[in-house]
Parts: sequence; C-alpha cells; structure tokens
Amino acid sequence: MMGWDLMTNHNTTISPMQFFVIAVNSMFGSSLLTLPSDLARIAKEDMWMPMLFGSILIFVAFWVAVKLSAYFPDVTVIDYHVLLVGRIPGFILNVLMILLMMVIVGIFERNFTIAVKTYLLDLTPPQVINIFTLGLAIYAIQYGLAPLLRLQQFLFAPEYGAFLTIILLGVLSIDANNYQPMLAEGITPVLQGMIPTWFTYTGPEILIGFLFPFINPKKGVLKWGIFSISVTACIYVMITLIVQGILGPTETTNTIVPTMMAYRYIEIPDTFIERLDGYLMTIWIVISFTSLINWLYFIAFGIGQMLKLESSRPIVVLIIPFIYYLLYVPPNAYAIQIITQWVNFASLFWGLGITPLLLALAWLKAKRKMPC
Amino acid sequence: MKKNNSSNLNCPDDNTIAKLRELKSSIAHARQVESDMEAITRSLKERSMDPGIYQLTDSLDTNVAHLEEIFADSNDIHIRELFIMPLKRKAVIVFVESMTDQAIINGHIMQKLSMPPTTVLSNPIPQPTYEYLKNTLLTAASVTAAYEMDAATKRVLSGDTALFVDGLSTVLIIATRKVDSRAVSDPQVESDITGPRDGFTEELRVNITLVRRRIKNPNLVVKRVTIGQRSETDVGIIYFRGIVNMKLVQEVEQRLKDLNIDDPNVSGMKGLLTDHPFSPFPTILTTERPDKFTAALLMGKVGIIVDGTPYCLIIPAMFSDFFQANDDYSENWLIGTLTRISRYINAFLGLSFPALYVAIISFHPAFLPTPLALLIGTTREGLPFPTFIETLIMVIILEIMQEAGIRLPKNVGSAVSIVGGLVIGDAAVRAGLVSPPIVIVTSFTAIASFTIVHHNMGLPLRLLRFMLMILGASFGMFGVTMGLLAIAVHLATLESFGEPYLATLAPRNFAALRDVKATAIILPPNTMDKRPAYLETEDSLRQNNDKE
Amino acid sequence: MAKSQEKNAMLTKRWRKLLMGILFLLTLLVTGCWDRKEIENRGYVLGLAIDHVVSPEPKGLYDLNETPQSAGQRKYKLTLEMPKFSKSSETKEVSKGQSHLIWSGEGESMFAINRMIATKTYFAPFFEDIQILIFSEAVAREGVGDIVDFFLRDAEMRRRVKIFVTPGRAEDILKAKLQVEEANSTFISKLTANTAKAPYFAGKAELAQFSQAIRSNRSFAVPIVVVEDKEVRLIKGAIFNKYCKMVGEIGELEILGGKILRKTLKEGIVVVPNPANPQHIATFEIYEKKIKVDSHIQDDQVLFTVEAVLIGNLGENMAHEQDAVDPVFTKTVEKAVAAEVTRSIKAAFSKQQQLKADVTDLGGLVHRQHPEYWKNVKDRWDEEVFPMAQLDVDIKISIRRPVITH
Repeated sequence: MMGWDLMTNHNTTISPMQFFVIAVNSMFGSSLLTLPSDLARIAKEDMWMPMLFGSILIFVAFWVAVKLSAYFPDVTVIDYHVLLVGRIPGFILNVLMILLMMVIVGIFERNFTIAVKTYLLDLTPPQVINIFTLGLAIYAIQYGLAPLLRLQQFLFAPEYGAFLTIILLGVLSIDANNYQPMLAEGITPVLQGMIPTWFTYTGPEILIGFLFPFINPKKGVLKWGIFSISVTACIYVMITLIVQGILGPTETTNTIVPTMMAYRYIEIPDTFIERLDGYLMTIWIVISFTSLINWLYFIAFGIGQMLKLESSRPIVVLIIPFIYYLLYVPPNAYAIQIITQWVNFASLFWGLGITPLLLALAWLKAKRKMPC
Repeated sequence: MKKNNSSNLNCPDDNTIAKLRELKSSIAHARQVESDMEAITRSLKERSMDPGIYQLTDSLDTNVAHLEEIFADSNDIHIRELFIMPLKRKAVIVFVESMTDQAIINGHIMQKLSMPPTTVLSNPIPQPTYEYLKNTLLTAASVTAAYEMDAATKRVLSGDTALFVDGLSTVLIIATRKVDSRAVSDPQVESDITGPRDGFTEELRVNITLVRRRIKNPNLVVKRVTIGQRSETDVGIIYFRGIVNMKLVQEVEQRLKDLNIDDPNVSGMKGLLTDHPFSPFPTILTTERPDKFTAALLMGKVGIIVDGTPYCLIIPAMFSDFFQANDDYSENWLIGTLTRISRYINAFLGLSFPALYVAIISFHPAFLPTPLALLIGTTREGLPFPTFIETLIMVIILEIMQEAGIRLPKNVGSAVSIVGGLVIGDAAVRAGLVSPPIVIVTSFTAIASFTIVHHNMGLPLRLLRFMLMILGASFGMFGVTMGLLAIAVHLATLESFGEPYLATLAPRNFAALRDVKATAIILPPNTMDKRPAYLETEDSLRQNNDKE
Repeated sequence: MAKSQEKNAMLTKRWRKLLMGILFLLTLLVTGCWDRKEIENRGYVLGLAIDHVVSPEPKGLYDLNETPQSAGQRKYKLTLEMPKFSKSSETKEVSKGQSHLIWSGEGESMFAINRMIATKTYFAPFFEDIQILIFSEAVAREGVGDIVDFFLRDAEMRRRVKIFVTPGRAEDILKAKLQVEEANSTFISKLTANTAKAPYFAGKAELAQFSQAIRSNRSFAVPIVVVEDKEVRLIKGAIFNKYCKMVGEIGELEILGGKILRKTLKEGIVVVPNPANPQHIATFEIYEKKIKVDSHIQDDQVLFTVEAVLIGNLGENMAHEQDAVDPVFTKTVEKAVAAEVTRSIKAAFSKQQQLKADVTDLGGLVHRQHPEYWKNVKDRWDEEVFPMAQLDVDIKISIRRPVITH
C-alpha cells in the first residue's frame, strides 16, 4: 500500500519541505477576507491577539494528528480509521470527514466568488466564475500529486512575494491610536475570539492524514508542519494588525469584508499607490486557487481510497457537480454566516475532539499489543 | 460531302473549318495520349529500386549489371572500369562525381591499382585478396568492407568510392567524401556578447569536430545511426559516458529508432520526438552554438546532431533552460542573476502586457491612479474601436511584421522597420485610429519578448498572448489571472523525456535548491559545483575537488 | 468489423471533445462580457455637491432634474462634476471653464438620483475616482447621517473622499469658473494638502469620519470652502456632532489650538504684537513640537492637561531697529506667543464644550488611558461629561534663531 499514488505510475514521495508548501497553500483561503470583522466584534482592540493565539490550537491539533499518523506510517487516514475502530464506524468517520472537507471547499469557493464579484467583476453572473475556477481545478488535479506539487512550488515565491509586498504597503496608513487600550477587558474576549479563527487555520491537521505515508523522510514532518503554521500565523497577524490600524475596531466590526475595505483606504498622495484592493484581489485569486486545488485533490483522493479505486481520475470530475450544487445552497449572506459557524464548530470538534480520542485509542491498542 | 457546289478552295467553308478543328483536337488529344503513355512506360521502367534485392556475387559482370540497374537514370554516378595490375584482375569503381575527392580517387586508388609502385610489385606477399588490397595496394586512409549491395550503394551515395573486384564478393569502400558546405560562421539566430563565434554547419562531420575539439575526452561517445526511410540521413547521438543517466540514452535511442519518416530534416524531428505534441511549449532545445551544446553534455544531457541541419537538439530541456545564455556566467554573478531574473519578468510581460492593458482599461480603470486614468481617457476619446479590437489589431500587425522581417531578403529588410515604425505606428495614431498608449504597449511587448534567449520559447508566448487577450477582454483581471494560472498548470504537467518540465523551479527539498541556484538565478562560481539533481546523473560533482 | 467499430468509437470520442470545446468557446462569444465598459465611456465623478432643493416645483418645460422614485420627496439636489475628455491639441484654444461637465438631479434617494443621471449622459456615473463631497450649510445643519448611507454602502465609493461644507449653495462651488484649468474638485481636494503649512482650516475630513461618527459616536470637524470671484478658499471649520449635524463653526485662530489638542499640529505661524514696538508685529514659526495631552479622572470628573513645547524660528520681525538675536527680546516674544497659543487652545476647548461636540477626540484619549471609566461615560460623553471637563494648559515656546539675519 506504500507509495500508492493516483494517476501516475511511479511512486511519488514528497519531502517535508514540499509538505510545508502544501500546508501553507491550503491554509490560506478566502476566510481571511471576512474574519477580522468577527474578531473585532469579540475582542475589540485586541483583535490581533486571538489571531495569534488561535494558531496554538492548530499546533495542538496538528501534533495530535501527526502522532496518530505515526502509529500507521504506511496507510492513509481512510485506512487507519477502519483499522482503529472497525469497518462500519470507520466508514462513517471517513464519510463525515469527506463531507466536512466538501463543505469547507463550498464555503471557500462561495466567499471567493462573492469577493471577486464585489471587487472585480460586478455584473458577471457568479456561475461563470465558478465554472472557470472549477474547470481549471479539474485540469490541475487530474494528473496526480506531482504536477500539483510542482505548480504550487513554482508559484510559491512569486505569489507570496507579491502578496506580502501589497500587504506591507498597508503599513503606511495605520493610525497607532487604534491599538490602545490593550487588554482592557481582560483575557476572556481573546479566548473567545480564538474560536472563529479555527476556520482560517484549518488545513494541515486534516491533510497530514492523507499525506503521511508519502512523506519521506518522516523525520522533519512535525518541524516543517509547525513551521508552516507559524508562517501563516505571522502573515495573518500582520494582516489583522494592519486592518486594525487602518480601520479601527468599531469600523471593522461593521464592515462585511474589512480586509478589502482597509486596502481601499490606503492612499499616499502624489504617488501611484492608491486603491490597493484591486491588486490584492488579483493576487488573492491565485492564492485561493492554490488552496482550492489542494482541498479538491484530497477529497478526490479520499473518495478514491474509500472505494478502493486504482486511480481516482473519474472521481475528480464526478465531485465537481456536488461542489457546484453546494455553492448555491445558501441563499444570502446571513445563511453563509451561519453555515460558516457550523463548519467552524464541526472542524474544531474534529480536530480537537475526535482526533485526540483516536490517538488515545491507538495508544491503548499499541500498549496492549506490547508484551508486559 | 459534296454539298456545296460553289466550293472555293481558297475560302474554307464551315465544313472544312469544322473538320480542321476536329483534326486539331485529335492531334492535341493524341499528343496527350502519347505523353500519358510515356509517363506510364517510364513509371513502369523507372520503379523504386531497392538495392537490397541484389546479391553480391563473385562475378564482376553480374555486379556491374546490377549496379547499372540500380543507378540506371542518374548521370552523376560513374562506374569506371580498371585493371588491377598486381592481381591481374578487372575491377570497377563506383562513385558520385560531385561528392568525392577526385584527388584521392586519382592518386590513391586509380594510380595505386593500375600502376603500383615498384616496391609492391617486387615484393608480392601472399595474402587474401581483400587484405592485400587493403593493407598494401590502396594507400587511402580509411578502407572498409561491405558485404551487401545495399550497404555498398549507401556508402557510394554518401560520397565514398566502392571498389568491386572480379572474383571477390566483398566490396571495398574507400572514404573519399568531400562535400562543399558552408564555412563555419557566426550563429545566425543566437548571439552572445562574449561567447565564441563558431556555429554549427550543415555537415555532420564538421559539427562533430566542433564538439570534439572542446571536449577531448574519450568518454564523449558519438553514436551514428541512420534515420529516414528514403533519405538515409546520418544522425549522431552524443553523450558523455559516465555522467549521463543511461536510462535517458536508451529512451532517446528507442525513440529515434521508432521514427517513421522519410526525411528528418523536413519533417521536423522535434515534433516527433517530443512527449507532448499538442503543447505549445518546446520540450527539446535546439541550438546552433557548440558551446551551449557541450555545456549541456557535461551537465548530463544527450545531444542529437542531424546531417543537413545546423540545428542540434538537446534532450531533455527544462523550462528554465530556455532562459539561459552563456553570457550570464561570464559576468559578475550579481549582474548575471539580475539579468536572468529580468528575463523571466520580460517573458511574463511579453506574454501578458496586452491582456493586462485590455483588462484594466475595459474593466477596471480603478487599478490606475486617477491622473493616469483621466489621461488615458483623454487619449482614447473619439476612437472608433473598443480597446480589445485595437489591441488585437496592433498585436496582429506586430506578428505580421515579425514574420515579414524573417522572410524578407536582406536588402529590403530595412524597409520593414521604416514601414512598421513610421507608417503604422505613428500615422495610425495621428489619424486617430489607435491611441498612443497601445502603440507603447505593443512595442514594449515586442521588445520584452525578444529578450528571451531561445527563439523557440518566444513562439508559445506569441500564441498564448492571443488567448490571454481574449480572456482579458471577456472577464477582466479575473480572466487574465485564470489564463495565467492555466498556463502555469499546463507547465506543471509537462514532462520532457521523463523529467518534469518545471523540475528546476520546484526543488524537492532544501538540498535540491541548488537546482534553482544553477538555473533560475546565479550564485558565486564556487558554489555551483554540483550537477542538477533532476537528471539523476551518475557523477554529481562537476569537477574533482581534491585540491590537496 | 471490430476494428472499424473501434475506429468509429474513437472518432466520435474525438469529435465529442472538439464539439465541447467549440461550444465552450461559442458561449464566450455569444454571451458577451458583462462588465466591459471602455475607459472613456465612464463618467468619472470628481465632485459631488448636495443642496436643498430651492423649490420643489417642476422647473422648465420638461423638468429635466426630476428623479422618478416611488417613495420620498423631492428634497435634495445632487450635482456631479465630471471632467471633459477632449483631445489635447484642441484644448489650447478652448476657453477655460469648459473642462468640466455638470449634471444634477433632484430627489430624496441618492441612489435613485444617481441612476437618473444615467438617463442624461451616456457615460454613467463612476465613483471610483471621486475627490470631494460638498454639503451646503443648510443641509449640514439638518443632519447628513442618513444621506451618506448610500456613499458608505456602495462598493465603488472611496472612504477617502474629502468632505466640505459651504455656507451658500454647494453646486456653486462645482460650477464656479476658476483661474486654473483643472476641474474644481481636483483643485479643491489638493488644497487640503496644505493643512500642515496653514492650519487655518480644519484639515482633512474624510467620509470615514461619518462612518465613525455613526458607529462610535465621535464628532468631527470639516473645512468650510467658499468661492467668490474666481477664487476659492478654505476657511474655518464646521463642527459636526455625533448625529452628523452641523452645530457651529470654529474660527481660524482657534484651529491651531485644536490641532494641538489633537496632537496633529505640523507647522504653523503665530503672529503677536511685537514687544519692541507694539505698533508692529512679530511672527513665530513652528517647526518642531513636543505635545503631550493627558487625561486625569478626579471624582468622576475629567481633567485634561496639555503640555507642549513648541520650537521654532522668529519668522518676521517688523520692528527692525530691534536686534532679533537679543535674548531679552526673544524671551518676551516667546512669552507673547505662549500666551496666544494658550488662548487659542482654551478657546478651541470652550467652543467645543459650548457646542457639546468633542471634535478633537479627547474622548478617544480617555478611552485609551482610562478604559474602565470610559465604558461608563461613553454614551453621555458629548452632552454631559465633556462640557464639565477642565483644562490645564502649559505651553513653552523656544525660539532657536531668527532664521538667517539679525
């Protein structure tokens, strides 16, 4: 079962550094566009703190997931669910996990479409944007993990370079008064605010289950995974700080997409730096796309493994109509908010509830196997 | 027939005219029948001749009869009889008069066979005929044997002389090839500032010479194969034994063997050897420069030289190879890095600048700062075409001019630049057909795409430019971004002879970042001591680092 | 038979792909590009002016300004200024004042008026580049919070639009023929950049302030723009309270003090009677400042302390018999300037208290320094607590040198 890969004949192994690239790409989704508004509502002036400390939750979940995968170094998560808890419960767990991933993808894509429509293309019907994105995603996913990885590595430096440049230009417009007073209400709002950040950070703890058997050498997985989460956390905190500095907590609460609003606000007179939101949105398309193809690939891979298929290529095309349908289920912005909250809780529960349970179960089983 | 009574012989009446006309058409028809018959008889007579059906015999007369049948209608292939004095036997030499060195034939074959020097005559050493001829009588440097008529005729057609001796069923082939070819000159298409100035020519031997004089190592292997069903072209596969991965060599040889074409020059071997014939991106590098060729060989790649073309193929070729020029290494490494990175940026701009222009102007003027937007708006006031059509026209004109510049004879070439620049650009603006910014955009795009080192990479850019423009005109920046992503996805899935196209830009781990060092950017010379990882070469150190 | 069947199957497979590809491409061509609008066909709105409607009766034969709206009255008049695109070779001869176009509409819904204007001009209004927004004083005094909702909600508008108030009709500012060739809006918006040099008007006020006022109950000040005789000028400041209603003005000389309270003073000059010769004057130029504003809570009352050190030059000494380097003279000038600055600060402070609007954001200071206290008072800050606050001022002036001559 080792080295099983879709669609290519030779065994693909990836290195921990390549896992870093996949993890970072899958964490950056479109949720960052709307997240500061929730954080500002809960934590006001301290809105950057929950973003920073929320990463700790993911660290824990990731560590648990790695340790769990380490008990089954040759199989993917689909198989070890079955191995751990039996066929039927394992199957149910797998189905739940795949469903969760699909809803996450649906929310990402929906938010992405709304953002593109609002800030780039006003009148284009959203179906066009979706068809384009999903169609290109099918093309990208078909050939297996290796081209996907190459694409992400190839795009990594220019994409994030441009992204960071635009983000850092925001520093020029911040107003230091917006950061005070710190910790006025105490630590409780910060802790409360950590919950909605889970959705922005979700990614590596689910994907490691799929990728663990393919990573070679296994030594650096934990190190590179933690590194990827920290890098993402840095960038997120930077964005939150800048948004807070530009808009201030009350404004952020009241804007639906505060990140774009903040970057619209930047203006340095007598230079050409005005209205950075357009450029930001363009780069965001690339970032969202790389995130999307990661998730879609692993959904197809998971289903393929569940059905014990030799190659998951047909699944890729089959799941797209499902995703497309999911996209249009929520009728308005309020429904999206509710669904996002639900998904947030569900994946939080998965990462910090079910996975540690499984880890405990695996540890017990391993202990029992060893002679006393 | 005797209808008219008043038949005047001087004045032809209608009947006669009709009959004359009939006669004329019959004559024309007969002529046509005659030429048709001639064509049919000739095609029956001059059928495709496969020399392999003839066997070599001892009897000279039979052989000569067969030869005359094989070379029936060509007047430049001579079959000359002579008498070998020491052996007292008749012989025949066959050669193509335009491809052979007459001096060798006269001096070393004819003279030595008909009038051998007295030393030979006075010391007859009993040997088998073939060895006697080869070792003692003939004083030419290269003498080989052919056992089949097929092989013998091929050698004759390559410029060698075939010697048929009565009573000997082996044919002696003496190397006398002397073909007029172009002198070694500057490479036409690729130019470097500080690189060597010799370029490959059409003659296979000269090309191999240019390679061997740079690498004087017996491990440099040159394998000759013949490709092409009808043209029987010599092709050389060159690789460095001990460095190259033998799997690659096997793959190349296999593919060459599987080639089923008439003539490799014309049919385009590149298209047939490549992994992805439908992709616009080249996966095989063609070069005219021997220094590039040898550098690639030393890196562990395989080269193919085809007789008759000055362009040689390097396999496998990665995306970043098309942006490399040897100049980068001759300057300071910082400058080299900057130049190389700027090439990538130029390629990107050359590809997407018109599309970005169309997208921004038509869909998102918000991307531009206000004064610039108003300025462009002012220049576009009153123009008859929307931006997309305008850009399309300019880019099509650009393509036409580029193509015309290649095809025009040299003395008319300067007219193209005058016509293109002044008339089309300036006059069109002044007439109010196009706006000034689009002229700037187009010329910038053209210049940016010329900085790409290899011409074959410029071609997919030209094609994809159109696709991106159409996407940009339909969906704005979203469309352009999606188009660029689609191109990136396509590049990520391409493979060149088993190696991924983007291998150099997608390193496997930190240690493999040295690939990026060597190909995408340049670092100080003493850090580049390893060969690229993706080629999986057998010997990864570039030079022997024992400096004790 | 099997082989030909196979061949048939292959052909149809390839044809299918080809057909799909062609269909896809055709959809692109047939449906068109929804968002495409050429750059010269957009109506760049540079300035927007909002007035009351003079009289709600129809004007002219066809009443071009009427906005069809199914609810609301004909209350406001919205005027837009757009630049006129003309080829540069022709503008030299065209008389000035022709470089912009003015469109107006009357109604109550800003959105509806906006769309109505699209029936007057084919370049539909495009707000991405808008520079200024002018209210007439009458409208401002009535309260503009509800009017600006459209501007805040629309994705195209910029939050950085500069706001102005004018005592007369706002549309006159846009329609005026100025000496310069630029559109009026651009000119006026660039004028605010000089607030650092000339703190005689209330600095930059942006649309974002409205949003903050509505959400976080902050008051703010807006410069007043007047136009007369082909000249435009920014003066004073209009004070808006947290309900976005204009409640009064702050004079030009008090603005210096207000800026010190806000800690945004950059440069400025103070003119005082010359101690050497009271018939003449002396001028002090500020180029460096250290301002500290603190709040102290004592028995539920707020005390503000301002400590500032202003360092500068003696810019102008009109009594030239007096040696400007003389330290005694310098000291008296310093004292006079300090007195003037203190007066300005106190005047600004009391004006705000009088109008019950805290435009210098002293409330924000309290929030940052005493968050617990602020939580209790923030809802009644402007009306009750702020007017009771005390102020202690301590200004030190230091004149380094009289620039280059004695």
